[in-house]
Amino acid sequence: MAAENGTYVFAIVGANHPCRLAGLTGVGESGAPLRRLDAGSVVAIVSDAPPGLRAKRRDLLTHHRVLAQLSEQGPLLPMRFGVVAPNEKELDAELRREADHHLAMLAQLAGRVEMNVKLLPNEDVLVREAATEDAAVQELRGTVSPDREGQIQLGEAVAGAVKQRERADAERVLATLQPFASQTVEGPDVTGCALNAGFLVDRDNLAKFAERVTRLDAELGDRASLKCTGPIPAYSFVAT
Amino acid sequence: MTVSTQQRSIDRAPRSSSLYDVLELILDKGLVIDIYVRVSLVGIELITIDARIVIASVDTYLRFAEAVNRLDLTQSKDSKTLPEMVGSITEGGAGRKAKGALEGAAEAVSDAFTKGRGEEGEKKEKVRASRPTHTRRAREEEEG
Repeated sequence: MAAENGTYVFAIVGANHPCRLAGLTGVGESGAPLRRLDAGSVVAIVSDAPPGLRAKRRDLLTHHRVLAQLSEQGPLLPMRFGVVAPNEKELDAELRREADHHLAMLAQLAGRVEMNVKLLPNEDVLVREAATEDAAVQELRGTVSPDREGQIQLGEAVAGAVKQRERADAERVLATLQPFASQTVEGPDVTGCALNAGFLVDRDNLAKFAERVTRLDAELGDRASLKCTGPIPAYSFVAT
Repeated sequence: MTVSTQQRSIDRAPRSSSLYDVLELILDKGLVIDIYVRVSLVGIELITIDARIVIASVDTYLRFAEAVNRLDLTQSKDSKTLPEMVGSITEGGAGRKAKGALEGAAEAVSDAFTKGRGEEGEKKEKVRASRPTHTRRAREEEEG
């Protein structure tokens, strides 16, 4: 069937990926069937794109579910949500053009998964620390005028001191977990998180990584907590 | 802390809370075949903008100042001292770490999700003012 809305691309895998697609459907209300598009040494997992595609919860979940399941079967390059090719012919040409690049990335990811770690600071604790330990805050607290200008000045100093502490904790998390990963990247800023980092971890190393995360969370005490999600498809390690 | 890792069986669908935890990666990371990104998804733009609201503002500074001014440094660390800061925290119970406030943007993302669920309405959701109302964890429990 000619896909009038284009071809939705989920992932690119090597030709030897098993591509077991049973139980999976595409994005959109009706959930078009998935299929493999063989383009020489690489394969794209695709479906017809639905009309009026938007970033709905249902479709984001579908996208993620397809990638999560396929990445358990073998290395894959996860596409960002919403990548639609005009048609299969042009996609095929693009895949063949970029095959070497894609195969090189796939080789990097073989046997590895992404673990996402978020550092969620406890502002109560950090504000208190700023008030008791930060020299600038302490001085301003005693001397600054109670009017709006003065309070903005004080608040800015507190915000700076809190931020400094958050960053120190973030660096600690990175330094502690980096030895367990072959690559590390800081992800997009997320509100409420002092750190949002992706770690590319060998599957063989996952237990040790998770154990270290758990211990680090305990070590951070009431200053912050860690939230670790994974294994997930290596979204953060497929630089375009 | 949550480690939703190891034990997850291979074929089990990700839970909604884990979707929330990787939302920014699905929307912002991942491979793009640039010449083929034809669909400009209104929803995506809105959500990513929401998630990136920078909250360092005068209002924030004023809240911090108020929080510090109200601190009684003779109190023990465990006591609740910053009711304004944490907003209407709904989580409780022993052993839970209270999360910081200022998560309005996170809620806006969550709202966009909720509203987008199942209906075809094309209305743009307005970016909410960044007033803390729920913590991240509380929101997840509602969704979970």
